[in-house]
Amino acid sequence: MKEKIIILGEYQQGNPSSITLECITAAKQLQREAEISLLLMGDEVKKDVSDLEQYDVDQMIIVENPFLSRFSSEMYSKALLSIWNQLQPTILLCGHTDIGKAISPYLSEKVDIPLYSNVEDFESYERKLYFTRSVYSGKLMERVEVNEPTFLVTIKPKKWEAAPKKVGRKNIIRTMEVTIEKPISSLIGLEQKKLDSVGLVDAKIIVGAGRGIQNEEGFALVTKLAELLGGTVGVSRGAVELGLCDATLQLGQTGKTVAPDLYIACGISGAIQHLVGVTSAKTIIAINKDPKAPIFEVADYGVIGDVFDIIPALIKELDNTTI
Amino acid sequence: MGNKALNMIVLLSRTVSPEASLVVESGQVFVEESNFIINPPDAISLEEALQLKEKYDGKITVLMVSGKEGEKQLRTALAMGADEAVLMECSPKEDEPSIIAKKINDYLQSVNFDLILAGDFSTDGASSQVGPRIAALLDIPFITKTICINQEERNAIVKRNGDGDIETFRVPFPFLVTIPQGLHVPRLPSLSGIMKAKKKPLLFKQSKEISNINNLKQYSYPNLKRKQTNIQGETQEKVVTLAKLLKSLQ
Ligand SMILES: Cc1cc2nc3c(=O)[nH]c(=O)nc-3n(C[C@H](O)[C@H](O)[C@H](O)COP(=O)(O)OP(=O)(O)OC[C@H]3O[C@@H](n4cnc5c(N)ncnc54)[C@H](O)[C@@H]3O)c2cc1C
Repeated sequence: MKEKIIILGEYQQGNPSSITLECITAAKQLQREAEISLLLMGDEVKKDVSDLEQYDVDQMIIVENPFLSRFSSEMYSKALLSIWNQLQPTILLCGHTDIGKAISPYLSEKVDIPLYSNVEDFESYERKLYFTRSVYSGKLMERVEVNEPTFLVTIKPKKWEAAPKKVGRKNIIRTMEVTIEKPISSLIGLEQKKLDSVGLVDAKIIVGAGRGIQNEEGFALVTKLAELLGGTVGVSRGAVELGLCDATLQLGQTGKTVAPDLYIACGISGAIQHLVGVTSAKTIIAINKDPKAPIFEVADYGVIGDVFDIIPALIKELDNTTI
Repeated sequence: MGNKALNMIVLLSRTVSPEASLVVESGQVFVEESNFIINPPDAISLEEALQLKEKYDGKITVLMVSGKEGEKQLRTALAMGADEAVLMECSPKEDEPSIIAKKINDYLQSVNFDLILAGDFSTDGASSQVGPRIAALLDIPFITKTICINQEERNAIVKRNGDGDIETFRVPFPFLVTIPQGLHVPRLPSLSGIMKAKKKPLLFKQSKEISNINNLKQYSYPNLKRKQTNIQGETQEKVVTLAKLLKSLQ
């Protein structure tokens, strides 16, 4: 029987998230001659996601249930377990995101299949499969030999290209039922956060703010620069600790992983825990007043200087040259 | 109905301090024993438990699966204010999250608890697996990225940091939470805490060995180096160069 790879999809604003398209590329790289299915769960997936037929997979699996209208670890893990039991796939692939991180260990334990987490590269060598992951706070890479034919894997965001749509493709769309008992935990409230961090992961230009931006005034400068460049703001833990912004904007080991075309690190020292979230950026520019700051070693371009001198002057220069 | 005193289990692991330098030889990592600390994300969940105890009263048991050396980190946790410690002994080979979760589950089968607090991940392995695995084994609800726990009519009201919104859940006890990094700055053990810790109970438990496939692992240093072009000159010259560079990149 043909092997089955299932991708646990995530979507927002009518489209699969970038990480889900990255999973498609990763699934193909496994070269398993398997049938690749993209699984989307929600209460009205068919209404919420457009172009269901055009993703570069063999099959779309849609699971609709009122209990799945929003992510909850309880509902989603139970639904996924039910789907696993019905389909008995060979491999389940998902992003190392809030969702993937929460429910893949649950599934692994329930079905007793090994799970490899936060993998950032696959490699085949002499018919053996190896996974590479970042460990010890980003200081080392671990290469692990995968001996099992059946496994679960979560992939680190931004390590694979997002698979493009295939125009004119007609995927099989399969609808599946899951029976979910009434949840034990219930969602009773939602509050919107001030700064929206949803767009951060897919931003093309990110201006990073660190402890060196010091105060509200510094944060406003960084925000202005980001706006001017058509980008968005991400931060280091240093900035979060200053209380200038929400922790969901944090980049790094315990924050988000991004891969913008351009990352401008302002007043960020370049601690390894920060770097593991940003080193996939195509170009890195660093502005820091300490010539010995480690950020300069991982930057393509370095500017030694005070952010309170450089950024206002840069904003002025950019303003002048655009007009 | 009043609030209940909380019987809490905090899961601790020991990891290499993020400041320590690591030596790799023939693909294997060597770490000096003195570099081990309480896994930083776990210290944050312990801090959350200590604050819950201050608010609702109760008991905190810190639970670790490790070799005997783990006693040192458990004593630190007791000095920070935990009431009891349990060390489930394991061999160095039994280091997979699935094995650790099974050992923790073995112990939890025989005790009562209202709440289990786990760290978001371990700084060494960074797989974020242990917490959700234990919830699966115990069949209890779990909530990740928990930022606030209150009680209301014997249920817990739990807030979590969703990506777009802060979500509030009502959950009956018992359940498991993971606590995100950055929620608290863990307290340091006080001198009197250190004295008291010496008299607090620390149990060593044997557990049956769990067989492990032990997938071969090799370690190496990541390559992060880049062009490193230094933009020079007076502030204005730098800024002009930088502006041009930004234009060319767009
Ligand atoms: C387990 C663990 C997980 C972590 N996870 C993360 C994570 O996900 N993300 C993260 O970012 N960190 C993380 N950290 C923290 C990390 O180790 C660093 O402490 C943090 O990244 C430092 O932030 P920073 O660079 O803003 O601050 P600092 O290291 O304090 O650096 C500030 C920099 O600003 C410069 N500066 C100061 N004033 C000016 C000025 N006026 N103009 C120009 N430059 C100036 C200084 O020269 C310095 O280089 C983690 C730590 C641990 C232990």
